[in-house]
Amino acid sequence: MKKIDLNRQFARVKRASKRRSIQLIISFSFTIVSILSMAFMTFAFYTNYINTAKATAIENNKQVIEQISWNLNSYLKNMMRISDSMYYNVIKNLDLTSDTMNKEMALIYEANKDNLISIACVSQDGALISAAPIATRKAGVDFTEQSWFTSTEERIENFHFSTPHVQNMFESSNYRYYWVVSLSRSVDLNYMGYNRRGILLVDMNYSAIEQMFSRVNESGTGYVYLVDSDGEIIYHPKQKAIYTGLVNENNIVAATYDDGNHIEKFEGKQRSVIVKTVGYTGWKIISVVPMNELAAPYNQLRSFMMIIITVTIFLIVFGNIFISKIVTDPIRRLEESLNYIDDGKFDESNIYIGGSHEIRHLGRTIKSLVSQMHKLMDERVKEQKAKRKSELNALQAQINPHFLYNTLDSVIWMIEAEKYPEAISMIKSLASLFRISLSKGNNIITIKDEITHARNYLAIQKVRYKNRFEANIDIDPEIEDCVTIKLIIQPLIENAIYHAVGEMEDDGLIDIKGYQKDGDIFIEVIDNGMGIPQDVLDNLLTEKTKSKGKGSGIGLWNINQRINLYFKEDYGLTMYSELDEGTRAVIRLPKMTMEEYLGGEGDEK
Amino acid sequence: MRNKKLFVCSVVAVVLLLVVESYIYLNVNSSKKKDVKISFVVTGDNLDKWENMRAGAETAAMDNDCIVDFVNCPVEYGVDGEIDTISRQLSDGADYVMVASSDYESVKEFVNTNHLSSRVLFVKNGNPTDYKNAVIPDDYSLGMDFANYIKENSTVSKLAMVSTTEDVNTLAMMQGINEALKDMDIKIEYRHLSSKTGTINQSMYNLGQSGLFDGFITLDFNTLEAAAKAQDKLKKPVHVYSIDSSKESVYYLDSNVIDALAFKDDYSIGFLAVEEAIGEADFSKLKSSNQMYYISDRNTIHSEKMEKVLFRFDK
Repeated sequence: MKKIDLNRQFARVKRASKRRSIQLIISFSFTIVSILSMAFMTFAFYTNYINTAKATAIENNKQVIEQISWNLNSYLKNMMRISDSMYYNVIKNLDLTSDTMNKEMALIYEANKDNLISIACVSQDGALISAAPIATRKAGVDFTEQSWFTSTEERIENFHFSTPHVQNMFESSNYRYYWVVSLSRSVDLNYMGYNRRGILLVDMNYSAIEQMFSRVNESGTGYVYLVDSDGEIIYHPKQKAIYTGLVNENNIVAATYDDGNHIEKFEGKQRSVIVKTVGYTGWKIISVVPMNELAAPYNQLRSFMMIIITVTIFLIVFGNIFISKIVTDPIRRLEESLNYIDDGKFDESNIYIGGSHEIRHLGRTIKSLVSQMHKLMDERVKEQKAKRKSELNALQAQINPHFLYNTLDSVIWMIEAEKYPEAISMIKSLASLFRISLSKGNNIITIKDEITHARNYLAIQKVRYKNRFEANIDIDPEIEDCVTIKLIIQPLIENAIYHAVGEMEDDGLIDIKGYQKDGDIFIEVIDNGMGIPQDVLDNLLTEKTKSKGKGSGIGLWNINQRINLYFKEDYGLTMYSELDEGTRAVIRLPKMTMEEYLGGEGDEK
Repeated sequence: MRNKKLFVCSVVAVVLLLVVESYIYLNVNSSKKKDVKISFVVTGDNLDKWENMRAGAETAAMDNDCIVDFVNCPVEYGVDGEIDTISRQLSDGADYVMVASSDYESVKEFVNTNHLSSRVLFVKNGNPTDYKNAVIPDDYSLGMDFANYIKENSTVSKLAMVSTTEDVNTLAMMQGINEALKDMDIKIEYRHLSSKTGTINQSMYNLGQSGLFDGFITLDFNTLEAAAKAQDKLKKPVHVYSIDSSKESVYYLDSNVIDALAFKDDYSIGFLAVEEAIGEADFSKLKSSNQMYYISDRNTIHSEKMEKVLFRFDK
């Protein structure tokens, strides 16, 4: 399995980001803009929707609270009606000495016993005057120490509602204790024509309140509880847990809230708190809903939106990549074309023309520029080549003054020795040599003329060297009319004489061969001299800026360069040599006649 | 060609994404969070005795996806019955079983043998140090605190400590009481009584009548009942100090039959047990801050706090 080189991949991404292609810039910037716009819109929509939904949930809770408040009010009003009925219809109209009070009290109790635990009338000094249902007063219980008694004594003008407590007035049966909320009021008692103050106590069954709230708490989110004006809990679904310290509630603070909706932070959680005060009592119904629960019904919407967002982001990313690719592909291909040009390949056919109108126009303009540039460069190369040719030809055309002096000295010597025929022959050879050297200024001559030039040179040199070497010329007659560059054989013969056979006694030999092979012409100049060391041989055809005297090899390099300039680089001079065996110089030329050369085939070859 | 490939890839990727997300969306919205089912296996013939614990457990379960169930195992079935009940509850899908066993050691052995300590939790009865997740009041501390209360609030000099059981909890309480009263002027003597109704009543009466003791410390419900009955008959009533958590014990305290009561708070035990199971609250913090027992007397029984702890909300 192919292992993924993460570092390499990361480096690629980094490189790509640094290059910042048009496609990357387009796709990246479009993606960012699209996602930001979408995120903004989604956030705005979602926030608005959730806020509306939360407001609706809070409104619903308010309605629930209103309903509980109405129920509780009705219940409390009913209890107060009982108290009023007992006070105004019974106590105020009867004397304490009358037996009727107990009966009236029992009647009222019986009529409301579902919501009542007891009704009692207590004198100011704590004596029990009357009670319903009839029960035994618990031993050791002092009414004056009970909270409902003291609070009524403190403020005699109002109804007083206690917090829930266990009724601790009468003996209970079956180990049963009742939780009650006491409604107490100060009353005027008639005792044998005198007014005495007493307290009327209505113990409301706490279960009625508990059931009222627990029904609401069993359904819906959050919970509802009830506190008095001091924040003391009257009802709470976790009342006992709160008293035992297992659960905490923000009841004291909540009691200070005004009616309406509040947001509070309690134990690190944000909660929506709705407060509604119950009339006369100062009690407060408090609905608590954790904020996260308010939004809970919209979790489905949230996940649905997440799906829509991720799919849309995917579509945006792919869409941007796709569109940017379509837009930038022609630019990229045009850039690749320019890379070819940058690499020196001036071929206008490589220039890409496609894509949008602007890019096609750009491509055509670049193509035109490249074409012009190509033309200009060709012309420049031709100019340079011509200049080079003339330089090399001029160099080659120089006749060694030493050779001319020696030749003329030999002629003088022959005349003085009255060897006139030999002198005449030598002068003829010299004249022919100059004639061919000039060749009317033509640099391209036939092989026949070039060989004639070589013969003349050999003739002169043989006289000068007193026939110390032999020279054989063997040229295929078929190639005699083919063209060659002038003065390329003579320098090779000159080298053979000066560096090989010239210093030998009698057995020096120079073979000059000309033949055709594989459609090309080969001319070889072979000597049987001492040969050339390999390091010298390797260096012979390399460029030299100036001559370093005899044997510097500038002539050989010149021959090779000229052949290369006039013909293709396939042609030229090659040197072979073995020490103590001799040296072989091979010239390779294209096979063409003067007509063919002048007809333009020379340019192709 | 490359554009076509890119287009096909993007379409395939989006379709795949849609399929995966739709699958997750449908599954998330259709699957409701599973409720945690907690069964309380308690010893006794009457679940009414466990009403406080049930109220605490249900309060803790209120805000959580949790179902609390109480199963009683009659005393006559013994520890085998309890173990069968525990196994049945587990096989019936209970995530946790809370055990208030009358034979702690045997049930503990069963739990350890079957490696059930993470699912079967001990509540109220047992050794609180055996399991980290047990919700058991420290009976030793309870005994010490109660004995210290007696020292400070009573004039008794000779106490009879009585019990019908000698389980791990009773022994711990006894140790605590003995430790607290050690080197004190109060002499204490332990009597193990038979739980038979007639026998225990007579024994308690005899102990009271003998004049050897001026006070009783009852360590269980049976001895409390017997002491309450004996009080009516004794020529010279004795002081009674009880350790119990029944509504009868509260009644006896409210009716001046007993002098003081050490009351195990079953409500808190039930609450903490459920919290431990569902792991919602910081259990160890709650447990350490709640000692799970109270000591009350005639003066404090109707105090604001004690009233809420000792008296049940009877509907």
